[in-house]
Amino acid sequence: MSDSKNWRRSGKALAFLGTLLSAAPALAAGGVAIDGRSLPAGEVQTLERDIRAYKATNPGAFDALRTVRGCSEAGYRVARNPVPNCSRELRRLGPGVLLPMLEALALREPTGLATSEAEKRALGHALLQAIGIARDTRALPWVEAVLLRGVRRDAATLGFAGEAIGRIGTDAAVALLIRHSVAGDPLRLAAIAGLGQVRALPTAQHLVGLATQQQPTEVLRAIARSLGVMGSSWAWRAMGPKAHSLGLQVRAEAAGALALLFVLHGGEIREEAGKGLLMTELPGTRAMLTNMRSLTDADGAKAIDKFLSDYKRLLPPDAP
Amino acid sequence: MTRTTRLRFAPKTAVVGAPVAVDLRALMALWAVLTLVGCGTATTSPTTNLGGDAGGQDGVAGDGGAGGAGGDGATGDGTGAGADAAVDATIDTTPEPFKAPVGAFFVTDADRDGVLSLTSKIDATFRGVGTAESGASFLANLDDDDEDGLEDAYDLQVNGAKDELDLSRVQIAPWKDAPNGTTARLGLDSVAGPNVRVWRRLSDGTWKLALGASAVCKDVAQCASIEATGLTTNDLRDGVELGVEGRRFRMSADPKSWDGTVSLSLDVTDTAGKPVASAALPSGHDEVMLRVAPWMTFGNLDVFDHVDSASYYQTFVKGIKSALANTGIEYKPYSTWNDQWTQDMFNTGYTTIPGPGGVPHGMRAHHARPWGRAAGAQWLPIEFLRSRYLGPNTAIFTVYKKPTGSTYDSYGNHDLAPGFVLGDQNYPLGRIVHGTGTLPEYKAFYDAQAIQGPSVVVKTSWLAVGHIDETTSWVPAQTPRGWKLLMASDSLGKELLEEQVKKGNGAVKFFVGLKNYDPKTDKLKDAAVSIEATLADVDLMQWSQEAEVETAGQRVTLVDELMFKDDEIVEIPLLTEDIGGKVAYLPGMVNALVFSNTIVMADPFGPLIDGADLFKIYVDGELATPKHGIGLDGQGMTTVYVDDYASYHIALGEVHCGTNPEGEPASTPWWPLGR
Repeated sequence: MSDSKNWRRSGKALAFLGTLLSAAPALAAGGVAIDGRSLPAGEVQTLERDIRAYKATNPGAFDALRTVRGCSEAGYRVARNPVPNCSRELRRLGPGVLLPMLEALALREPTGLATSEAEKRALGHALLQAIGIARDTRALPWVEAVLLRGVRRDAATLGFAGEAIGRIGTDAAVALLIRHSVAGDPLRLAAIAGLGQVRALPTAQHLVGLATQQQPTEVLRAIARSLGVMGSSWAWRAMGPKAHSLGLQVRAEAAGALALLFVLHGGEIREEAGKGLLMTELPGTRAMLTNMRSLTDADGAKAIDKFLSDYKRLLPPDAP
Repeated sequence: MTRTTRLRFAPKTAVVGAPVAVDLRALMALWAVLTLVGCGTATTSPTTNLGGDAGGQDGVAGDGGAGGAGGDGATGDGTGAGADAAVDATIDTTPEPFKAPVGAFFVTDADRDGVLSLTSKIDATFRGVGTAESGASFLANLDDDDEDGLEDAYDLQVNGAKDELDLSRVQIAPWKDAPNGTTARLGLDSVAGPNVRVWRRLSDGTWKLALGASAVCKDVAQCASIEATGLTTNDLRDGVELGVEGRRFRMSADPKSWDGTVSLSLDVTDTAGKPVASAALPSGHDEVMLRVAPWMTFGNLDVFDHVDSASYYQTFVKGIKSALANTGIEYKPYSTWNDQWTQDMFNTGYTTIPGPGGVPHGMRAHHARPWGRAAGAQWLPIEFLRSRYLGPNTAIFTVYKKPTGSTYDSYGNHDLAPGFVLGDQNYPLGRIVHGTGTLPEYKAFYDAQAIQGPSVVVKTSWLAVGHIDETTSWVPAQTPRGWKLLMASDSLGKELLEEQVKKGNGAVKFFVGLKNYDPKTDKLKDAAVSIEATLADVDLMQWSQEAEVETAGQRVTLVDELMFKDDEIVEIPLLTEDIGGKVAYLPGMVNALVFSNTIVMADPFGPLIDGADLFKIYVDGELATPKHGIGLDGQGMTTVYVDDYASYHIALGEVHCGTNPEGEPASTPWWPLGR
């Protein structure tokens, strides 16, 4: 067979392959944060089917995702802090782009949005944050996959994944986070961050339990932060009057543990616990800290006094 | 090394055993006689003091004295200068005129009147590095008076008459009767050498390099220097005029760094190399110190004559232009540089020395951020400054050691609390406030200047951009301090919205007219969001509360360091979102351009209540009325709102970030601070 015939035959084969590719969706070679080929085929097929259906009715949603510029150099080069960051842009697109975002996260990296490793990492962070905020249970398998099997294992990526799982907050999601929040688990800090987004009493009690155990500094600091986030009085208020009673219980649990962390520890843990106490904004915080003076040394007592003086504006008045 | 201490009258009386109620006039007269006869005090004190009745400075204590007709033997260890000032000011209102001793010796502008004078006791006798009362200084001569595109201190010539004005003069007093064969060695200390140049004026009026950096070299570490030069008998008889220029500012207070001083020495010898004594210099040796003038930055209360910004966004430019109309402030936005964040690229400031009449003379001096927005040295902000600012009386320089750094090194993260003197806080020219995360050389530099430092460091690492201007600003006020601090407040933003819900306005929307994509309709839709929906946004509320707590921490730092009272802080509403760090959700009004009695802020696009923007109405009530005593006359400022949403807000900044003002050096002298 002559070379020219070979060439013609190869050309026909390539043309045929091209036709196939243009007719069908691109094969899942892996998204920004997950290698899609590592996922259960059934879940991939379900997501592919949902994406096809949505694309048929809302092609603009996929186009909208492609307009995001903050994670590509042309976009972030002009930002005030010129590092890749497209979180705000993605969030502004709203929950209507959930499926395009899941496709980008798990199945196919969108072209042109991110090129370098730092850009892809930032895109992953932004996708995880925006997906989590959508609080759509369809996203749970995919953000779980990022936490457990994601292609990037840096602390920020895992933290965003943990928070996304916490925001989705189903029983399964919470169970996963609690399972990984125990001593020795490599995903512990991410799981604790995620638990902060679960505004529920059992979760608060779980974190309080962790806070009273002997823990490394970075773990106690993460617990303090999560207790503050979980106990955020503003967030509870945003949840409406129906959440008021539960909010008070969770805030009380959080504040009690935060006060102990403040009193019994110094440095970063005390700083984070102080911020958490201001977040929980629980009436009685002032008296609670004052009553704990006996649990601490002179430096601790001094820290209590300074905290109460410095932040008197932000602390609610104690009950009469 | 010389020491600088004040001569006090008390030791003199103690030495002579006089009672406290000594006849000061008689003593003054005796002192004057001693001066006239030139008997000095070489026999009575190891430190002979130039300056006769002054008692002078201790000059070159420890090395035999700076020469001293009629010095103050009674001071013994040479403690102190300025006795005359103390005596004259408090007791003797008719001081004897000063007569310079005979001989060759240094004369500097130590009395800070901008003139060298042999009849000025301080000029002729002060030898130390500087006190609140006395001491000579020189400029880091980094402007470009001959407009050749090169800083004046980086070439080997004096660049014309304008440049001569930037040289601090030092005179070697003429010694008309210098014996034949008398010569001298003029020297400077080796540490100062590469950092300065000392020019000698020739008889034809031109200048010749005498001492200091001997090559065109910007890198001080690589720069050779001339540390000594000879003077002939005729030079000594005619006197010598020197001009001192700095090639850099003092960069650090680290003892291993140049301390910003230059020590000039003069050794008068005969043909055999033996010291030649004169009335002025019994030991034949003199030594005098000068210090490089500090760099100081501008604050919101300074007088500006120019505001810069990029020209890319017409809405923004139009807004700034309108705000500046009829103010006398020039505004010519640039289109030739790839950076719209004008505030961040360079830090405007100035440096001064005493000019004629003691009025500060100097130059604007701006330093550049250590990184640009594209690869390559040609995109470093120093090149922007070189192309747009470097010129007569405008200097440019860098503080960083190498081009590197991060967002924290942008100058939106470096600010100035305006001048104030309260209690033991003596900062008439302001105090630098900057955020965390800056390159260490910045704090070292600010603190080394001593006038506006030590800087206050405020935590900004929780912000996605990380700049202090995102949460603070400073406005004039009729208060003892003269100004008030504006601080972003998320609680205020939330409360203003909650009030509207109570009034039944929860459905009112803000961000009206702005567009977002709507996947439901697959089209762009109004980005407007209702008050109720905003307050029900759990994430936004959590983030805003986190920001509130962090801002409260900033406030604690500022209160501790600057001794604020609660009524000196005015809160400006904000809501904050998180993008991996916090950033303004509402356009950040506190991030404002302030000049004179005007504050230019981002249009908040707040909810329209009865046709008026809720946030604007509130802020106007705080800033544009007498409520807080804000404004030059306490009656409020002019508030201007500029639409920066599409141009700056979405790119994570606001009005202050996009503008940068500058002006003439402040008229308040730094030297009375004595630090």
